[in-house]
Amino acid sequence: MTEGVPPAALALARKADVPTAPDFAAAYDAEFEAVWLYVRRLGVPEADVEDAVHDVFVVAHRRYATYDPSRPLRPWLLGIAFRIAAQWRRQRRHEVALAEPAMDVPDGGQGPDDVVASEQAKSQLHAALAQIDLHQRAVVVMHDLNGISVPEIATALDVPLNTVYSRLRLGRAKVAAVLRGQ
Amino acid sequence: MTGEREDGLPEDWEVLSRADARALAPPPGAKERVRLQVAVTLGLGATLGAGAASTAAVGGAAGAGGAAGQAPAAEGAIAAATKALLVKKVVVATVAAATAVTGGTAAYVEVRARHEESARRAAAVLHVATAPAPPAAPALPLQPAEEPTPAPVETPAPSILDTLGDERTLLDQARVAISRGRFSEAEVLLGRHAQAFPEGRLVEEREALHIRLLVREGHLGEAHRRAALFRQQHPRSIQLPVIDEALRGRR
Repeated sequence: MTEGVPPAALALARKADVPTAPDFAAAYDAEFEAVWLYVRRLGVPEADVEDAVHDVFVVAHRRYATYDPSRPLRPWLLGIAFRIAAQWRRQRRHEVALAEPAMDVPDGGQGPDDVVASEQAKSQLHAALAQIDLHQRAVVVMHDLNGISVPEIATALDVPLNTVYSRLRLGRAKVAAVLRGQ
Repeated sequence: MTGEREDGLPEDWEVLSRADARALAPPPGAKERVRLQVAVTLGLGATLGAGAASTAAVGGAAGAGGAAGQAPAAEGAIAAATKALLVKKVVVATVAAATAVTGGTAAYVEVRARHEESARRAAAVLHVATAPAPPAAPALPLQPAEEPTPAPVETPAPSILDTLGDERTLLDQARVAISRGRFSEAEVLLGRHAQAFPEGRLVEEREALHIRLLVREGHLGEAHRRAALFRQQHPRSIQLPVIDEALRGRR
């Protein structure tokens, strides 16, 4: 399944430093769920996801001048979401490292993905995604769950095209292996 | 898992992805709660969507309602969310103090997380219990009453949000976030400053930080554009050398 980009959400209509309130509201309505699912799939747990999604839309509003309206909106938003999710993970890792004395940590500490795994074994796919590198996961989710093209992903994540292809190939292989139980 | 598709993914990928989307879907009311917080942070008021208030007021029924005629309720809910945001902003100062005392990032992270959770709960309560805003405190008369007050009147403590110290706190946190590469956090902090202190005493410094942030993120075009505008608006600003240095940093 690909959660394709709805035509209505392809782009905010006008180009300006700040989107008009109706345009922004329409974008919010169209993209909220996609942003939510994306940050969840990148490992932000349910307890923090509202804050993360809030930050995505706030940053998108403030950075609107950097958005090219000739391109679809969703990849740009998910690019912002990736950076915010990555920041959450760094913060979480830091918190865990400081909060838990080494002797109380049985298996080298609980990283963000352990938190996700223990928080919910709701979805087989989610558990598999949690096993792979964040950068690969970001690409696999964008491409294979959101239906975003590789060139758009490269632009959104600001990485070379070949890097995206490489991450996609490696990420897919790992997810498939985990799902096969290897 | 069954066989494999040509791209290496399992044949039941679509079934798995649908199940995943169902499992991770936002809970009822989340969309409207976040909408309100975004509207408050950005100062967009009810214009970000009128469906918010009715949903929030009933504690989060799902649905993308939204229609005309709900403006008063929307304003009430936004007022509630504003209160929650104010709690958060006060927390920023509290956390800054904790950080200053302990000198530890751990304290910052832990206290912030705890207080933001409290703020979120407060917001939920406020959404449910949203009532017309309490009447404003009566304005103090310009002229004192006939009888002189023997003891000094106990004036309310000045709002923590109105002080230079709070402006300084937000900008210092933004500066630290920039220097540590936490650009999204810096963006949010600068936005909070702009929201709380649109005419603050440190707006030039805020803009200088914003330009520095843009440079660090690699958005040089936008950074130069804002710098040119800044130079035009503040030709004698003490921040100009700072901005020039930031721009040179990537050349």
